[in-house]
Amino acid sequence: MKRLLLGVLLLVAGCEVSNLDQKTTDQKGQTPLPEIEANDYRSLNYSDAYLFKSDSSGFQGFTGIVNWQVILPVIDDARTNLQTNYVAVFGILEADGFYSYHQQMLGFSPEAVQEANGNVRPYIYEIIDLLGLSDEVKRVAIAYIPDSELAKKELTTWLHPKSMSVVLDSLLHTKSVLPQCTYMCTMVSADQLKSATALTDVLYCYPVSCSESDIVVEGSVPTDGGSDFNWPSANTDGNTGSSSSGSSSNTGEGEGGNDSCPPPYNCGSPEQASDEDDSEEESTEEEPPEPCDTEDPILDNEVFQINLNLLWQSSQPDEPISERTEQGGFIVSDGNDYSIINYPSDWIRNACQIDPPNDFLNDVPENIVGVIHTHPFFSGDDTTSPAVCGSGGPTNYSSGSNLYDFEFLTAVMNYTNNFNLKSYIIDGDNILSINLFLHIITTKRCGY
Amino acid sequence: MKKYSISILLIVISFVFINPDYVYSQAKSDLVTCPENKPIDWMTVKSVLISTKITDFDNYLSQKSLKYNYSDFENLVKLKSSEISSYKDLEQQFDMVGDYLINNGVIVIKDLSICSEIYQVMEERQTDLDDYERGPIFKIDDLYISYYNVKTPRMGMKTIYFFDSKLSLIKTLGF
Repeated sequence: MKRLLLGVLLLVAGCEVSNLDQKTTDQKGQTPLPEIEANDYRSLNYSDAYLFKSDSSGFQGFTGIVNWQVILPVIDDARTNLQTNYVAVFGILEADGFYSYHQQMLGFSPEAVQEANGNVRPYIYEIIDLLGLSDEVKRVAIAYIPDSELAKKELTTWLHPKSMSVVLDSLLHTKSVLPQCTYMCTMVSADQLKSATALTDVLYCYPVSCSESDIVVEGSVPTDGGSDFNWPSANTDGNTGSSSSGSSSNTGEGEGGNDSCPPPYNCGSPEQASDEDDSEEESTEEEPPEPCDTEDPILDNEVFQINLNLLWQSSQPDEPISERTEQGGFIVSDGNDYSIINYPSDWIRNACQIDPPNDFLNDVPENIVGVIHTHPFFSGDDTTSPAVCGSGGPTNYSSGSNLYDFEFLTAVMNYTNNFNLKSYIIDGDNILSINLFLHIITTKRCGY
Repeated sequence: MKKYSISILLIVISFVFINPDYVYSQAKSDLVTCPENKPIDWMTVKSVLISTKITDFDNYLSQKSLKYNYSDFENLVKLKSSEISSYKDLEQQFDMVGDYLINNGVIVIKDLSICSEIYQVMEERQTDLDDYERGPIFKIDDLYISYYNVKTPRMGMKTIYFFDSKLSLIKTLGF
């Protein structure tokens, strides 16, 4: 009763989470990005911008200022539709003068994801044409990517025109701004997504194709889009139709594509990146799940994976969200394999919380190597129902750890005097490991 | 006369103990000092500062100079987990995060009047304090944050309260 009252009070406390859930309804439009007026996503017209600057490394170009506040809801919308963390939205100028919009799942190398420690950051890439000072946006991509330089590089490389074999670094030292060029602008937010201080983020542009210049560029940037680009790829989900907050951990909603291996990484198969021919749908033969190779001995242990699957299923992820429950347990080792001892049944569970009794440390087994619990949600789930997490919960769930989770881990560490313990969280999309410094490593679910 | 006195006394007593304002002022007045911060509280501040959730602040935070680099925090922690042999070692690492934050302008509030005012608002929303204890109050730019800690560790979200410079509650978010 007390907890019920507390829940009600927390609800009353009220958290006004911004609704970023606006839907992208048009697949074509007059502006480079859906739902955003003209070029409002950046605050400068490049044609005004003789505002070039050079930085300490000798870089020269001109700058624009990115307005993430209008961009992020568009990417969030794609996240919701595609039910995955890493997504892109493309605006591509077509021959009819309209922009076609596409939502795209993204996939990055394990190294890029690991380097990001579970953090994401926004990303923008533009190709603009200043020929005739038209300041015309030819293509624009906005995305959430892992917060790592490698992820940025992977995506940027994939977005570059295929014909562009120029060594970009050499362009960072051009002697002047050349307005008769097609410019390519790329950046990730200068800081983390955290502060949304994007009004101070600077978009650097550099020339890639110039009509009158001493810059040598092999190949050319096409002005009409098309085959010189990898994007949109076959697995782009241009259809922005609704998707359920479903219970499937597979995100195979895109048409005609290989959603399990989205670009730019394409599961490590570079051939797929440029394979735009979607006339023949790839046969989707059911392959047995590959053994997970996360280099985490616990996650890669097959016995543990069986336990993990049972734990996940006990959270009732196929039920309506309010009927699911967090489940968890102590991870123990017998020297060879890892298994899970479920938390005792008197630990109170609901969809958003596990509440142990005061003397819970008495339940900690001797051979403990970690703790684990489920977040019985899928990316994009709205958890704010009073029966779920209440108003403090995310409207748009994405994998992560909570502060109490971390404090629980440190309490067990303190009790056992074992600071190598890890805390794991499994949700519908990912499994996360958290260590004593609150470093988070996110791994895609695999094989369980 | 004595009878009347007893009646009046009873009325006063019942008023005192039933009147919610009095109960409230009791709650308020029992805050004799601002809650102390423990080393692990710095991890809460860190998590708030680097969280993607504060993008929900929209216009408010976007105008603030609330900029902390995730990599800065990562670089603070030089030890490997195997090099931590006691909880005290771990707390020292948390304190390093605290030192970084203090050097970058985060202030631990000690002013009782501010703490009382903030907790006055918080306790209007969370009155069941049996399972909780008051957390410290931090000032980041002109933003105040505070929260309750649980007495018994659990798994779940911690609600962070955000106040503006006038000590008006502007947001609560679960972290």
